[in-house]
Amino acid sequence: MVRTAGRVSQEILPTRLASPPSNGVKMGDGKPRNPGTWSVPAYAETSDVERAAGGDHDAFERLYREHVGRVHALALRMAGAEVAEDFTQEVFIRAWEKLRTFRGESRFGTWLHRLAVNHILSRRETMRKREARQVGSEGILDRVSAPPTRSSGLALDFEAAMERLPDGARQVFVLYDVEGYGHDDIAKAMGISVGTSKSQLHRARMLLRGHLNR
Amino acid sequence: MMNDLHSRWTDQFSEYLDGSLGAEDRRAVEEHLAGCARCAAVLSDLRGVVDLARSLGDVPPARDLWPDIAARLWSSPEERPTEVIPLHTGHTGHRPQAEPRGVYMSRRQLAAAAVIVAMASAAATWALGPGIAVRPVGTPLPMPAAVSPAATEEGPPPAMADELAHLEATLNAARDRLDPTTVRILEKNLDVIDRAIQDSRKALATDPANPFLREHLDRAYQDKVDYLREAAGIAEWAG
Repeated sequence: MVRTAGRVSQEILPTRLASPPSNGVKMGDGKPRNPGTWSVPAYAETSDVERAAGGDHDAFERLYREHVGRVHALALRMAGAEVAEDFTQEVFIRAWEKLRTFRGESRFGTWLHRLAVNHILSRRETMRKREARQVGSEGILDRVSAPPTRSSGLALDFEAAMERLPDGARQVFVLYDVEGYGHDDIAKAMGISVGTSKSQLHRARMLLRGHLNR
Repeated sequence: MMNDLHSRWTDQFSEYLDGSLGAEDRRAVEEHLAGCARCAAVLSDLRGVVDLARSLGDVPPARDLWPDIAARLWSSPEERPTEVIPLHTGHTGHRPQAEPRGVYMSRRQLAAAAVIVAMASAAATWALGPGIAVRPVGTPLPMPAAVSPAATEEGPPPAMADELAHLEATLNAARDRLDPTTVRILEKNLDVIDRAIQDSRKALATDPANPFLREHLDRAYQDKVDYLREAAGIAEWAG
């Protein structure tokens, strides 16, 4: 059994993405979005989660290897390459420390994803300092629209363009368009209004459109 | 940049794409799109951005992060036991061996408790001074290098230190009745926890404003207090 002693997940994530992500939110194309889900079969995942919650380091390492690509991608896109590895490490350290409070009400991957989002957002102060070192939005627009290098593929270049977005716009864009969260959840997690979330999303999309129009 | 005439429409395109635009606004946008190739192109671009974003996959880190994570969690790769070491009271005849009330701690947890015992012991001895009678106990646990006047500045908050001193007094009084194996385990783990403390403080020293590292250190100290409480409970039981 997954250990249930200790605080419940609502207490772990009191102010951010504590509620289940907005599964089933219909997008413009009618496609239901399922943020934070992994393709790992539940039966295979559960066993390692139980073992890790009981202190099994090897089981936790297997969970790490299963999920590190997703967590690192999230950190990379939300916070940038210079801190992505550090944030990824911190997410897994926090996951180990909080694992005993995982109640199994959602998939482990979903729980880990919410934990990762919340942790990365909690490090926004670091990211804000990083943004302060960058140029203004006009410069960002110019750089986002810079021609791709010949050796880079479209996706890689798109990733690079995303990284150059202003932090707020990038975080909303990643959470909404890449990860599939809804504006309500994003607004709650980031401490902004739904209207601000929508405007940041539109700003990010407009900044990135030049990337595809070359 | 879009001029004001077009931005009036393009500003609505994200909500249009996401299906969150009201029926009336949606109809107005579609009517405009039918006669404005420029806005239609912008909408097409935005749709391409959304489609590309949804197609992005996982991005594994360029190097294996696991060794660093394991080191930060468990101090060193070799200090990664999955079993726990039973910490129980000595067989002094006060209680029958058939009634184990052992508290089970991992090596790291034991090491943490050991350091607290040593720290609290030193603190109490220093605070009380040589003229104050402290119950003599067995061979003193070696003082870890991390426990120095400078290092304690990065240690637990004063309120926690007070509790540690109190718990230490309880443990110190009962230590000669503890199982020698338990004492040996504590001593053996002093070096482990010393390295862990040094690593944590070193990391914090290089990034003092890092809230994660601070929280991590605070939690570690809280864990130590928790286990010291358990150890003190065992000591009382041994008495």
